[in-house]
Amino acid sequence: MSRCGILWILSDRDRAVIFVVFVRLLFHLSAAATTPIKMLSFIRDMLWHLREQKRMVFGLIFIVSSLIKVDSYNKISDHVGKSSQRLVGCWPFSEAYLTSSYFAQQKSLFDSDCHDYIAEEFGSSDFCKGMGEISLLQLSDLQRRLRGEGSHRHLISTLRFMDRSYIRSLLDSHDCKAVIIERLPIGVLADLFELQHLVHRKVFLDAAVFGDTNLELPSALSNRSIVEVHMNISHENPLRGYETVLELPLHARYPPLDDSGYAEVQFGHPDLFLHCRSKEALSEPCLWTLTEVNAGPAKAVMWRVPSGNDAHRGIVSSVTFVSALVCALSIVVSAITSRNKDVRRPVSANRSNDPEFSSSVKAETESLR
Amino acid sequence: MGWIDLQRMLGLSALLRLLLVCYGEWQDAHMEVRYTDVDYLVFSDAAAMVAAGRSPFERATYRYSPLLAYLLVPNSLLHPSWGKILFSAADLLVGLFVDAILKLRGVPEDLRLWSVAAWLFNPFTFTIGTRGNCEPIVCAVILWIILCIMNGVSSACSTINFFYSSEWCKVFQAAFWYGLIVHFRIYPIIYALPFVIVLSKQRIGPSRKPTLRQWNSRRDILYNNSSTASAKSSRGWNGLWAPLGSTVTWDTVMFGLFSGTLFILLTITFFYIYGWDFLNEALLYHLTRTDPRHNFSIYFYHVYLHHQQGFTVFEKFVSFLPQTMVQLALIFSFAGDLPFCLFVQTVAFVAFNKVMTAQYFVWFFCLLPLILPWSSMKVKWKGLICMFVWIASQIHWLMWAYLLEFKGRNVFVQLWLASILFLAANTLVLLMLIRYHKYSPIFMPLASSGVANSRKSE
Repeated sequence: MSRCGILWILSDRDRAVIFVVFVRLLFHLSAAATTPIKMLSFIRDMLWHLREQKRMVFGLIFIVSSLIKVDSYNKISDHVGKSSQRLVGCWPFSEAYLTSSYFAQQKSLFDSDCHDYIAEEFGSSDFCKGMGEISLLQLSDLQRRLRGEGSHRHLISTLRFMDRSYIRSLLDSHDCKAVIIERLPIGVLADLFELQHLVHRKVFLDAAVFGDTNLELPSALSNRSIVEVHMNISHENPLRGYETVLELPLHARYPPLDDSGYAEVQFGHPDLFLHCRSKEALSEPCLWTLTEVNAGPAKAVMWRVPSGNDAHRGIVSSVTFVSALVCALSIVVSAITSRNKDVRRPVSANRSNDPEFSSSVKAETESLR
Repeated sequence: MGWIDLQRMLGLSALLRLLLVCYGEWQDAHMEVRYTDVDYLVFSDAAAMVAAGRSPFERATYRYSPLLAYLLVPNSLLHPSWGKILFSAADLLVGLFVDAILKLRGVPEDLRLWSVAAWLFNPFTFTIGTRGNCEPIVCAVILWIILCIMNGVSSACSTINFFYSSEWCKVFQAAFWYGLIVHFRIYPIIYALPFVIVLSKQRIGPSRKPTLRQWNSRRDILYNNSSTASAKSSRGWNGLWAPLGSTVTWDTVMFGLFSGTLFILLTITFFYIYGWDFLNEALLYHLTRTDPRHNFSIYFYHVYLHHQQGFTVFEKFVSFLPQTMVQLALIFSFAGDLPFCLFVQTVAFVAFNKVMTAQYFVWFFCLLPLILPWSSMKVKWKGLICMFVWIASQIHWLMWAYLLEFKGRNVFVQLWLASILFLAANTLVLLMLIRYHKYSPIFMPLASSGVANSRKSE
């Protein structure tokens, strides 16, 4: 924060602080923490959190909204990037990624917290002064769809920019890149090494995955992750203006068991930013949120992943074990009985029909002569 | 096969592998789908970590011995393809060892070349080495151990005569490599018992080398019936405990002690350097691995259906039982015929394992050439039928796996049934191989051997 100047406080920030306090309250109450000492420590924590803000009343009001958030944990809420205020800030070069230290502070991924985190870390109104009216720079449209079938698909996001003339002049004087932050739902993962391969092949400028990056665990034993991709704004398309197309390769984890035979994974709205730096002046790089102007009712992107059926459990286990046992026993019996086979086998058992063996036999008999 | 000799064959396969490595470089650079194995990138990254003075286990999914990362350090210093060349060289070395083992056992050259070709030109093996899979190294070491045991005294030891005891030297070498390879890849632990049994049966002749039983095309069956029968009866099922008792010899005790010590020393050393990362990733992961994602193993769907609540002790025992049963039966039936024993053991081990992927097949492909000369199965048609059954059931499985993984269709039940079918195919092929194999212990039984007391079964 201090790196870039004064923090541009968002209204969401207070909610985040109150929310943290509220989660602690829940934690203390649920973890049999009704002892006086624990309660005291909780009150101390709470006072510590609110010492800076001194917005107790304000905070209490937002406890209600935090409650709703607790309920919606793991569900995909679509409000970020639309309802929250636009972020304008500074992104120093010392930080390679916007979300790199998010999971160092947060245990799990809440949709809103991620945006708040970025606002808190990078938000600052003092910058982007030399950029003209950046609010002009918006997306006319964001299209999202899944391409492919099965467990390995591409999530395709098409970012279409408004105001062709303004962005052209901006790109003339600035180096700009689009930053797409995808908070993946549980059940879907991005392979960091695959993304690095794409960076190597210059498809992306940069890419990183944070959070649960284990590629092997099923959904039931894993957590969510964040993918951050940096991309060039593509050259001007004469028909549609400037657009950037992100094709993000994703993989489905094995979903929890479900009687319907399929689990549905729904994607939320990504966080979109533009990051620009003047080509000549040594000014601080500027970062701001991109929003869509024509954002209609969000069309959910859905991925159906086949899942095992709980009802199969008994029959599958018993048939598996019985077949393993039958095969094992047949091998055991064959191994034990085979010891007498040569004695029983008729002497005439030869290999004359086998070209490979008969030739070798011939060779050997010749050598014996 | 008059037109080709071993050297030419090795040269030809070296060329083939070199071309494939170059082609792999090209495909990696130009195509979306890589030729190089994903694991190779893992090894390479881990080796780069080591080169930078860091732990190889900082690379996620690196689940191998640090030795592998050390071997591949030149990947980041010399050329990224160093490892592939190394693995392919090990691949060729396996061919060389196959020839050496068969030669020691008196197999004529023509047949030896066919057997070597069965390894070198197996499309499965040459792609695995050139794609950067480390299994050829394991195969080469396993075959080298067999050679050590068959050779008795290693040449290096006899010249130095370090311990003034040829027996000690022989055991020393085999045990060294065995301890190393169990540390390297864990699965060869299943060979411990057959190695010990066969070592106990080894008798050193006047030439300070054990007397090896020589390959016979038909004479064994025609003229030597009685000796075969007596040799077979010495296999151990007549009295399970008598041969077990006779396995405790100076050789076997030294073998066990030395390889065990080396294994423990390596484990302690790497635990000291890399801590729990090493123990969890390189050792415990392989011992406790169960994968709910689809693989050839019959247990995958069972594991998936239970992954949310875990397994009961009973379930663990029941899945452990068939594996143990089969291993013990095969060891006590065939240990004397070491290569055959290792082969059938490996096939069964892979077939009954909780996780089975195609790369495991290399484990027994390298032993297959060692048993071919003793099989009386005709290529027409029984051999072809075996191959067809094994490959067809695999392709059948792959079809359902394709529908599940690449088409997103819920075919878990069909895929699981295909796994069971593949197990049945594996079992059938194994039964056929056992049925048509002419049991031939690698060492000549001597009159003084401890198994002479076994009764000839009537």
